[in-house]
Amino acid sequence: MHSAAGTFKQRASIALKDVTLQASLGKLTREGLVVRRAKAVSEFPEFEALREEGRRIKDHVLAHLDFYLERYEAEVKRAGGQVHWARDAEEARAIVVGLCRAANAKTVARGKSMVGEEIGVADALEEAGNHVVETDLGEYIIQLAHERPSHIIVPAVHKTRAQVADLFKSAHLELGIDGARDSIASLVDEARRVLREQFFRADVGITGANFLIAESGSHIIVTNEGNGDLTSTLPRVHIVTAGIERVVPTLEDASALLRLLARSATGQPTETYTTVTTGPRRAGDLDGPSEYHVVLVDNGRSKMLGGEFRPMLRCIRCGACMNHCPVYASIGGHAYGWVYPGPMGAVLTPLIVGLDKNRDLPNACTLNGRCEDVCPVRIPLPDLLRKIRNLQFERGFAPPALRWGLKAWAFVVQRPRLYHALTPIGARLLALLGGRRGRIASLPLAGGWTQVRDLPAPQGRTFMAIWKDRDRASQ
Amino acid sequence: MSEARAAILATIRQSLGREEMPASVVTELERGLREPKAKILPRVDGDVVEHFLGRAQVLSMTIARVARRADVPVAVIDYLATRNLPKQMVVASALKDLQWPAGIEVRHGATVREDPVSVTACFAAIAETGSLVMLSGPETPTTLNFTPDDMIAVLNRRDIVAHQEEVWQRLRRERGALPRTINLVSGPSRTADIEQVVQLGVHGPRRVHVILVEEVGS
Repeated sequence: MHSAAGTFKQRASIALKDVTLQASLGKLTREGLVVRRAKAVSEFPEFEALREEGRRIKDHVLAHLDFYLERYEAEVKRAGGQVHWARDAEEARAIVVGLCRAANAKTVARGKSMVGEEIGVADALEEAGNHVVETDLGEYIIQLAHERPSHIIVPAVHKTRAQVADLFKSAHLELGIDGARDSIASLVDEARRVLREQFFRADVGITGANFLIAESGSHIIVTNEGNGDLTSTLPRVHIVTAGIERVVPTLEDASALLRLLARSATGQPTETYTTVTTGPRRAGDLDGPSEYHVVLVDNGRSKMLGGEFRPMLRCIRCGACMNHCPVYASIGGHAYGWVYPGPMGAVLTPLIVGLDKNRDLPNACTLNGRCEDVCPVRIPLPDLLRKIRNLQFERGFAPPALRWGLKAWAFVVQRPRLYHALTPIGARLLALLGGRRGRIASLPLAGGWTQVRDLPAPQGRTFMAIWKDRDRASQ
Repeated sequence: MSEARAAILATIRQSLGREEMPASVVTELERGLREPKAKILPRVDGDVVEHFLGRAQVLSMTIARVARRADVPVAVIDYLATRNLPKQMVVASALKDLQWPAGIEVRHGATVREDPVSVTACFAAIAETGSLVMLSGPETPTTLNFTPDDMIAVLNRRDIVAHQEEVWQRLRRERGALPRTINLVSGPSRTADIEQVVQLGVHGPRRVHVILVEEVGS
């Protein structure tokens, strides 16, 4: 999917003025997922030890990723499925579109999948003439609104029930479906009726995978709605799209990570449906797809494995980092401009889409560290963000004012004599600018600060000068 | 796309700074796959049956307990009567031996769109999470777990275990290969996608009813 993260600042300032968005974000952090996670963790004394275990499992897999992927592939084939490898988003789209064409598909049902968003599979299928139906309720809502997910677990968290009612009214008119639409229950019921029709009509179902199991060639998906299961049971062809880092050795490893995932994502000990699927319909089966395909997506991951960003590949896409991020809580997911928002998005987006295209994202962070504290696989997110800032600087992608400013600063600060000679001058100048109020309302190169608040002016003397005076006085 | 496969694996090895792994490491990894080990497990205190029933109720499932398997039809009819549901259902072939009284319309097989009620058999249940374990197969089709409004699941007391890891072990022991699908069902379908308010019955069953068969024999 095309990234629009270049305009982060504009999006952020629009989001800050959006009253309904602010209300839903407030609910998310004050009474929603954040509170539920805290409760689930407090009821599970082994959680900290399990986080360490989760980190260890993922690190082990990443260090032997070639082995586990090859084993996984062999087991999928043994179970009668097919594995396709895609180097980038374009290859992945071509594979999925080709499979749908081969299946003579008209209607394609999709279960929510972040890698599906990442490769832009829905748009590609629509362009190829397929009718694509999002089946996760939140994804369905944003599909009707022609928007992107604003959260990886609750994609339509920014929509109110009134907005959903309006979307349903205009979309369902031609289907001859009308409803009360006066409560959340009636809206959910209406979506059930409309989407049920689509599940039975769909020729192909596409889902993601939370985990791929090397031992058995299975994939696991978890949902609360059951849409993933209808998507993978009713259509004739099932396609799984998954990042290459989703693989784990055994079902036992998946069990450990599932305990972390459910609590971190929604504060539940388990999601409603956890499904382990291995290959297509077997001889004698009365249901299930007759074709089973897995598209393994690289899209920058194999390169990420080599450097200092390897820990990012531990991510199990729970969303806890964004739920606990003060920046996300202020601006929501759309401001991040691509499919992955919040701290994990601020790291992943520049790494996948390009350091030059997303200059602002890694800098939209206070480095308060809450994301790392709650990450179920202990990804050092603030550290990774800092490393991306360094890379941006080294490669010359930082804005010129920042680059030259930092260069000048570095020059001065490495020469103590010069520094001590210049600082009193600077301090006095700023004190003069501050006038009697002691505050500066506008300053060249510091517009970002002074537009919204005054800069307190120094009192005219440097710390070193005051220190020397005190020293002299006490002697 | 074998070209892509080779390229991806080559980049992975390059990133890991090595070629193929030494045989000793591969042997060790193979052993890990052959002998999976459970990781840290949450404590499940007391009787697993009571623990399961407690969790299941928290997850909005309803429970009926019967002494013997032969009592299941009566419990099903009770459930249909209290909810005012049609006496018409799809029953998994795994429960073909059950005797239904006259006036009940029973079909065996998979469910289609219009079937409002299913009765199916659990492979196991997990006390830790209150989950039912449903396996796909001709005897217990997967559609029975998802398309009806009401799913009725018959569970033998002896099949309740503490953790999901015991289910994986039992599957390996008893079946070797995994079935096409293992569904862990933890209550009715739910969503919180509109205004973060939990709502039951969005895509899957609106209600899940468990009939627990206490007898140890058979």
